[in-house]
Amino acid sequence: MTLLHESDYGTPAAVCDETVRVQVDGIDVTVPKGTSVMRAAAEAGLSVPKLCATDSLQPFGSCRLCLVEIDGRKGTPASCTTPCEPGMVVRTQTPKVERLRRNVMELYISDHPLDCLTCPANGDCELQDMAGVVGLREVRYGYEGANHLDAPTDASNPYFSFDESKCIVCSRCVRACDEIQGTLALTIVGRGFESKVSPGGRSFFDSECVSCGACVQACPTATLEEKSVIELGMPTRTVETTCAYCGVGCSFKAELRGDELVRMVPSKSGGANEGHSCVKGRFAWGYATHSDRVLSPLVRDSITEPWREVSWEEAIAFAARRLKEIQAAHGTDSIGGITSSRCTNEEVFVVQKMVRAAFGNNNVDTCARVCHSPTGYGLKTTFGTSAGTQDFKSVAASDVIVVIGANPTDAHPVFGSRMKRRLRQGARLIVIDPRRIDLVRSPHITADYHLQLQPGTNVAVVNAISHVIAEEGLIDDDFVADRCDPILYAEWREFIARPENSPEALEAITGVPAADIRAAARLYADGPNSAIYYGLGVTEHSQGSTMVMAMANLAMATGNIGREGVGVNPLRGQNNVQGSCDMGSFPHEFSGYRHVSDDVVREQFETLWGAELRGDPGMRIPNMFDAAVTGEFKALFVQGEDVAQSDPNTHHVQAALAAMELVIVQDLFLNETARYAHVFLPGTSFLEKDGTFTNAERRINRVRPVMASKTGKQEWEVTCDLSTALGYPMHYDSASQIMDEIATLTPTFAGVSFHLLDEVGSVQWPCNADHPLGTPVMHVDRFVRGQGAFQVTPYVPTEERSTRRYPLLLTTGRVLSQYNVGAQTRRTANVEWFEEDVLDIHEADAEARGIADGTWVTLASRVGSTVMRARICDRVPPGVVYTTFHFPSSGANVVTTEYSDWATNCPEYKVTAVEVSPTLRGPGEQTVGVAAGSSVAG
Amino acid sequence: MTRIYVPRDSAAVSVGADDVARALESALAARGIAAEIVRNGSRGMLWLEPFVEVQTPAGRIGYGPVTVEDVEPLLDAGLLEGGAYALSHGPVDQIWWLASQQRISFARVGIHDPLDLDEYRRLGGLVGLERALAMPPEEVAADVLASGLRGRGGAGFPAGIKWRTVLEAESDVKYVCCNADEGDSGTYADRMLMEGDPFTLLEGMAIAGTTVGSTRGLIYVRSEYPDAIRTLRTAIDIARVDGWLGDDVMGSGRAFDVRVVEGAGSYVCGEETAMLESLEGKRGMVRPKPPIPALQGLFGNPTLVHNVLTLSAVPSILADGAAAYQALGIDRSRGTQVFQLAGNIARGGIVELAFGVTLRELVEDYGGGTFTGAPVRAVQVGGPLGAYLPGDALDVSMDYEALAAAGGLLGHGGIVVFDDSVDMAAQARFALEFCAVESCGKCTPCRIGSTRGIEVIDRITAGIDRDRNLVLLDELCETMTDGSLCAMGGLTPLPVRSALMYFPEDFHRSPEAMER
Amino acid sequence: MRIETLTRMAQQIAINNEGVGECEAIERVAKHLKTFWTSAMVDELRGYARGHADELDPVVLGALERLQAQHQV
Repeated sequence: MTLLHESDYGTPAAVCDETVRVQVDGIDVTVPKGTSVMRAAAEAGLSVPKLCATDSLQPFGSCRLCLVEIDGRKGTPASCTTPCEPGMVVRTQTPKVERLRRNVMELYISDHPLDCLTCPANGDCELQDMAGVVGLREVRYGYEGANHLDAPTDASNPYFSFDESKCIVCSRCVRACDEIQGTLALTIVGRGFESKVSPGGRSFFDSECVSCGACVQACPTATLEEKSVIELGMPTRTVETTCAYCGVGCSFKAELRGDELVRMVPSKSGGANEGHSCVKGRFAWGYATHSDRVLSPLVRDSITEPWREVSWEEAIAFAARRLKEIQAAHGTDSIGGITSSRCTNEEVFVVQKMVRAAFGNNNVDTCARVCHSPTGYGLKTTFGTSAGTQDFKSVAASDVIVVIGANPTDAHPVFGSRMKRRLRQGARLIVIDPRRIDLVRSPHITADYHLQLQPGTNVAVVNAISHVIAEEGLIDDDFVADRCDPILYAEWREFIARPENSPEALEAITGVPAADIRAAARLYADGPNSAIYYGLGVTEHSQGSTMVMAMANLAMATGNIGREGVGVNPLRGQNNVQGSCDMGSFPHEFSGYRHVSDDVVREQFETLWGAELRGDPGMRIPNMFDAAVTGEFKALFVQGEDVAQSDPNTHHVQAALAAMELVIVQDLFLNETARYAHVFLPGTSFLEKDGTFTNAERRINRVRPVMASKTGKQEWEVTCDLSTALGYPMHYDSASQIMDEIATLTPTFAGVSFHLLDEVGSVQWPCNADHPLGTPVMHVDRFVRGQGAFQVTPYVPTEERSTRRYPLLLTTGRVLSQYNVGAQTRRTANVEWFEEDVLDIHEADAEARGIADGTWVTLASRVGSTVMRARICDRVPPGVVYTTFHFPSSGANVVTTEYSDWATNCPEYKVTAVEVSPTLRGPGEQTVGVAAGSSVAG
Repeated sequence: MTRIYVPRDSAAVSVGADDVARALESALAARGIAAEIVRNGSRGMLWLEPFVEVQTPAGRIGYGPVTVEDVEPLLDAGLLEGGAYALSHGPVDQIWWLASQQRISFARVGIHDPLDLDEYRRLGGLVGLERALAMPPEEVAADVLASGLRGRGGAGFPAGIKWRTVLEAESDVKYVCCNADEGDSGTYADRMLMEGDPFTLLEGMAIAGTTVGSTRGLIYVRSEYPDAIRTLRTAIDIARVDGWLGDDVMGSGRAFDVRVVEGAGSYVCGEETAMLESLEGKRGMVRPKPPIPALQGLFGNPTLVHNVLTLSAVPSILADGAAAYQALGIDRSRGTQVFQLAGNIARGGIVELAFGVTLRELVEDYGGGTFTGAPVRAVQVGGPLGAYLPGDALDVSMDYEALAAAGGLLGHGGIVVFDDSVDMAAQARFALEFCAVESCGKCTPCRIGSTRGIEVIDRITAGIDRDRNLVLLDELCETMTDGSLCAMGGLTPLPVRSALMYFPEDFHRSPEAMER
Repeated sequence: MRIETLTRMAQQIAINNEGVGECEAIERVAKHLKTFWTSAMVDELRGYARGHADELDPVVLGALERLQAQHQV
């Protein structure tokens, strides 16, 4: 249940071009064929009482409150399960059905606690509402009969409790788990009066429940209730906003009592999530008000001194003075800034503006550098736009789904559930991953092909697939002829047909049987709608950009671009990776991906900003660190990214930071980077921000301030103050004004404004005169760059190889309950599910090394070593080990190397040659002086 | 070599048929007599089981009930020649109880070894399938429709219409599902047929499958029927080897195969949609209709769902013609019904007769009245959810419409007799108890209503607020009848209301009631 | 910046652009360097290449020459 009542039509909308006209209580209504009588009534403005029906779930027909009478039909059919038929005359209120409803409700209440006044759901309970609606006045059965009032409460889940005594066995929770989340953790056990909801006979915590909250959301009573509501009471106001975890960008209703957040409830109107959520967005928001947060600015002259708490004015003046001094002494190019994919578009935009206009150089980069920069490069080169091609909904029209180097059920759970729904409907699945991710086999889903490749051989596998498609005549010649550059195509066609790209030739390198590649290639080419979804397992390689282009080639060659159900789709790691890239965070591009050397574009910015801007690219993050070590780069402003923990080759990063004269950090917490900082500017959590995030489907969502800024300032205000202090005055009255400036300067954002977003909810860019309400699917009639550009994608192996000394290959990822480097999730009860990183190792490799399950091991590469617990499992093949990077104590990236993508310098987090050995040392003992840290995923 | 028949049917076995067979075998061996013991199905005269028959030139002579102790004296009396003995019933085909029946579905049951395919053929088996395969599917479906055959599971829906619907549904995958989750109290015809003549059921399914365009048949057999499951599985293997199940049914080029699925042990799985859920591996919960299973059934595919007895009638309809079947019966109830006599009855067993026989004929002429000899006070027709009819209302014609008009239902043809010692308030309570235990728990009227009903009846019989509680019980019955999702909750009020109507005095017995 | 880093980056760019013929590869590498490298980085690499041509891929050398020529135009 939810405080801000969204209309509930009872059953899902029917999709059908044919319509039927029916009459409900004298009102004529025309609905698509297949619409339920209940929904037709709702559309006619009538409301039929209901408990088991809700429009996010298929009709079930169990509560029997929605009975109606239909002329010419005997009995009293349930309106939720009865489809409209032409000319039907329905009566929803007759003495007969009113009596039946009242008598059914009487049965419900005869087995329900009479504690409405003290119940946490008081005022937010459908059972209570319906008892009123049907006019129940007495329970003639009395309350002495058999009942479930003494049933126990299961409080094992940290975020919600299950009070069985209040359960009306409507199965909404069970169905939500099945239909929406797809985990199938809940069931009904027992028969008849003894029927009850059960998480598979175990406690919720020990069950397969993934704590997505769908059941809590679906529950019409207080049976499944957020503990925060039980503790704090019913919220009194609602603010609609956007989650700040992964790149799915779920819309939420933040529900508060006064200034205190009580719960986050997913919005049905949210374009990305349509009412669904995961454990992080739904429940793990407690970090935002955690006591570890720093709320006042801090400064110090050297990093060996303790921090001094100062006023905003003093901190800004201090930072500006030092920056100016450094530029005076070491040159304009000696300073730079890093924007954050966790911040809003508006916050990012002003930081890059400050760098370009106030710092006077283009030394601005973003943490997306270390996650999805190859996506930007690859998709821009081939299609013309640095973004995914589809909206999330598109997956419902896919016939074949290819998942490459992504683990949606853990890392993008809400989209993962959408994908699973389609797979359960029968879409085919190809998984390309060294690891057996959950999708390969989960309830009612089995991958048709799991191409379990050697880490680092993505390009070889996709080239081999394309080779088969070319060789076996599976290319969509019409699409290629109509839509793609013929010269580039001919070049690619010649390249891909070479024998060295055949699956047979590559089998020894990829480790994937040629027959499987051929079969998967045919499946993908046959479609008819085949879609590729990928993650950091594609980009974080030395050939990340090549791989993105190889996938684009594949999609173009088979005509899988430009309509529902197809496309090439990055799953973005952080909430605003797409947005931070869009906003001109890269050193060579202004917002909207226009090169700084483009005189026409630059002039527009110069005119509006009243500043002279540089036309040559600035430094990327790794360039800045390299230059710092060699003494050319002296000061860094870094917002919302913990580079000392998250960037690779941490020793090198630490050395670079230590060599700088000034490091300014803006963050929620005193993070690892802050150890090297001279100025700490407190940041705001997403609950305090006012602005927009852009998710992986290019959807621009509003982030609204749920509570006042705890630091007294918005982050963009701080940036403006610093810029002004540097001599370039910057001022906005509101975040909305910043978006207006973005819209003015960025053609793909030309139609975007807070006003529009508040009106329509969200839009997907491009949003401009041609597409006033945005663009769900791109490249429909033509590619953004005109013709699709095939690219020759030679497989160039990484220099990182397994050796005698480091014979295993390490790859990394995420788990559901934790996020990224864990700064947020480690400060929530999510640690109850996952309290330390572990190393997954195959039994054969463990056996050979004398490693027992659950014992401590040393994980060492040529750059460093760390200690963690081993978990023997068959998710990884022999020769490959896997770990997560959520805990600094284990610091998986201590061992990752300096190798990076050739085109974008995105680090090669996903392939590291390592050795694993048993150890008696305890956890957290990393090799000092080599490297420390863990990867960020963007 | 002389053949001696000792039934293998589990009803016969439960009263010692296996022991009798073993004793016979060793006695024959000891005496050096060469005779073949055939384990046949049961003739359905359950009060005579174990019913031993011997093949003689004068026909089959029957003896029963035979115990192990009877074996030696029986042999001494000249069993092999059909000699006179106290338990002799003379030539079996002259026993009125059997001879007067119109056995179609049960035509072969009890006559032969159920797994002897040659015998099955000799007794007319596989003629129907052969004929059906030679006809266009539309004509086969039309024949079934013309025969007037209606669903024997209880709902009585015209089988031919279902066949046509599934036949016309467009789908690569279709199913034929046989519902053998026989759970009604006092019913056992499905089991006796599956144990006593499994080929008839399989032939009926093969005709149905090849007609509607299905290649996959499933028989959902309740787990309490292990012998039936075993027998069916063996029969399927035999039929495959013989080539009338499998990839190429009788060389027709059409494929149809059958698999037996053991039920999950729930009464409600006898409801067709709950059975489909259970077959899909889910909890056996009722699905709302529409969509009807004929269009969206098992795994969403068009599915022909029929009871064992419906499918078992099909081979003879095809073999002997729809007209012959249609010629039997009364009004809109055509053909025969397999009645099962049970409860407090002198001669319980299978009586297959054309529709239209009266309940009195069944109970008195065939059943011989009560087992105790006391007057018949009530008869429940159609299983635990059927109405109770009073002993003085037995002249009702046994067909779908007449029974409905009398406030009852035919159900699966089960007839349970009670004498005058029965407490009908307790019986009404039992109906609700049964519902409370067996309800799938999905819909509220059934899930909670059944339990509340028990409590209300208890208050009524205890004399607490009787008038008010009688009104409440009546409203509860209305709520369950009109508000339940399926027939389980919807029919439970039938026995309750009929008990209230015909036997109101039983609800007024308590001392408190007397005082009022 | 460290010259080892710059040469490694340049070599990697060159290798990944091979497969389209040397002439086209030079064009593409030149374009890449111009698009993504700071002028200081390009200048530094060019300076190094003067004395160490034998250590660099011919495509890298070609690209540096191409950039020089464009610059002078």
